[in-house]
Amino acid sequence: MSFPKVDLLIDAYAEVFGSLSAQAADHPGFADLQHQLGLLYYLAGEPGNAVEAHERALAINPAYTAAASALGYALEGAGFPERALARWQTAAGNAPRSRGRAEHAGVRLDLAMAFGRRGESGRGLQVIESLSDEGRHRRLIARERFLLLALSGRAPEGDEVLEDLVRASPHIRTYFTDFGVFVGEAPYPQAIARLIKERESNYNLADIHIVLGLTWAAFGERAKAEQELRSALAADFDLATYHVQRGRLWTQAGEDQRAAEEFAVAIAADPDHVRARIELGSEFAALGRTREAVEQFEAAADLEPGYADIHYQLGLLQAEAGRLDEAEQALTRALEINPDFAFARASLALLCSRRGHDRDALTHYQRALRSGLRSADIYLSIALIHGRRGDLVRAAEALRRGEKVNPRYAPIHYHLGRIYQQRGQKGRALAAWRRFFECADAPEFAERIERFRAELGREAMLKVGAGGGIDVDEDGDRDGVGTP
Amino acid sequence: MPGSPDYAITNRARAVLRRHWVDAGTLTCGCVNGVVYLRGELRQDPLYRVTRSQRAAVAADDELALIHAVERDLGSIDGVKDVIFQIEGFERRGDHWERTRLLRRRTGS
Repeated sequence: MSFPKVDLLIDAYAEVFGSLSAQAADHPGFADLQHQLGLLYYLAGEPGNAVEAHERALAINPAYTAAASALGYALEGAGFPERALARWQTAAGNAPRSRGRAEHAGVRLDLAMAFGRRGESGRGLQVIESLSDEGRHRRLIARERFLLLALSGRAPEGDEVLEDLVRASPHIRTYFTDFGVFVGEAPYPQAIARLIKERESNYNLADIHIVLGLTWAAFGERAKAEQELRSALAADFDLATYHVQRGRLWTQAGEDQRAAEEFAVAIAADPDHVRARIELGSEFAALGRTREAVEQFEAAADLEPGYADIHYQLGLLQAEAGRLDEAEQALTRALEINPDFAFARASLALLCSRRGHDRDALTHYQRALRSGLRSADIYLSIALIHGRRGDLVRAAEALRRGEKVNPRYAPIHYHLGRIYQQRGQKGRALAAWRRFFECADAPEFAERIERFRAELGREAMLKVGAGGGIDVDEDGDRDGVGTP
Repeated sequence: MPGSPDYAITNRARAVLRRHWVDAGTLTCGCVNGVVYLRGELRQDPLYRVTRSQRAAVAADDELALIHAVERDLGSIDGVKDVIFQIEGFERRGDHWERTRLLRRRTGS
């Protein structure tokens, strides 16, 4: 067992270690923080500390299979291979199967790999054969199957597995050729021996390599960030996640097209990768490719039908694309999943209003307000609906509530002015519009307000200032309560 | 709403939050009719805090500075009509933000 050289990791490692330690001190009941600390210790060549950290994680959450898996590797590294094997055997026996595929393929894989390292490749193959070849671990499983076949003297069968693997990605091909393993050159005993000895077998390290990669990215060290992502890929062969993380680096850099390309590769590697679908959908939207964005979010919604935010984003995109029936369905679905989803509620209210479904719109707006989503704009939207229905009293009430929430929201004053104008309250109308110009930078409204002033038939002097403001010289009707 | 920019604005708003390393786990962000809403706890990712501490002295009121910076950047997104913060522990008074109470740290999971 060899550990990577710490000096290559010292800056990012120190930063992540400091951050995780501080978080773990603040949140002693968070098992994932202990687990991540354990991975860091393991990476830094401190298996003893890794064992303690993973044991703390399991003490908090005994069902934490990733921590159980990583604990085994830490025990091996600390010189306790029998304890490691016992740990994995227990975990593999306890791991449930559900939905027709191995939910916890990882622990059985640990066992298979452990048998391989102990020279019991036949037993390892028996365990491997019980694993499904679906899910994010499938290429990792294939890699281990290849190794066990090679160790068992079944290299030609291994070659078929290898060929499928290297065809999936040039990065995977490079991984093997770096160890001297080339398709068609079975049985390659020396290369296999070197691969077994030198590769990192603890695939759980992929997660911490990603964290380290983000840390390097925060430092602006893109090359080092990418190196960490390659290390993550080498650990668990999760191609889709590797390309999603690369895509995120491009998104952070504002390179939407390159990000989209990475996410597309991720989806090609794993069409069921929900995060890749969402990220690609977001990039397509950013690039103005709305139809393609909708397709990706529809795929994501099919994969994760219980995730309200996916339906919410899909609804917004469909609305933008003019597919209003589908938009309404998607937003409604988001609210069925999470009735307190205020953004979805308010967006559905807006959609209903735009479609003339006023009663539904008012109902949704009221519920959005009750959920705490409060803004002058929502009150304005409510006022506009009441105004359409001829209820100026309710419209004015809503506008006044909006004014209290945000006295500087200019459209409120504009529409209040219109209501006062319609009621014949000239002074109030002019005062409201003066307030509008104080709050707004909207010279295009000046002409419209000038027209309204003319309709009022007042002799007031309206001067439009250089900044679009208005000075009103009223003819004595200062209390604002006037008659036409 | 054909041509409605709410999705695009939401996307850009979330990008602003990512640029400021805002912890996405504690804050929700959305846009309705051009109005951007932020709700929850506004915190920076703890990883970012540690990296910054190596390079410069950390200001005493980092969170206030963060709110101002995020508000400024969100308001500058094309199409945004208003920005509504419903942030725990902070309140807008006039043209500035004030801390209303210290947030209790979470313990346990």
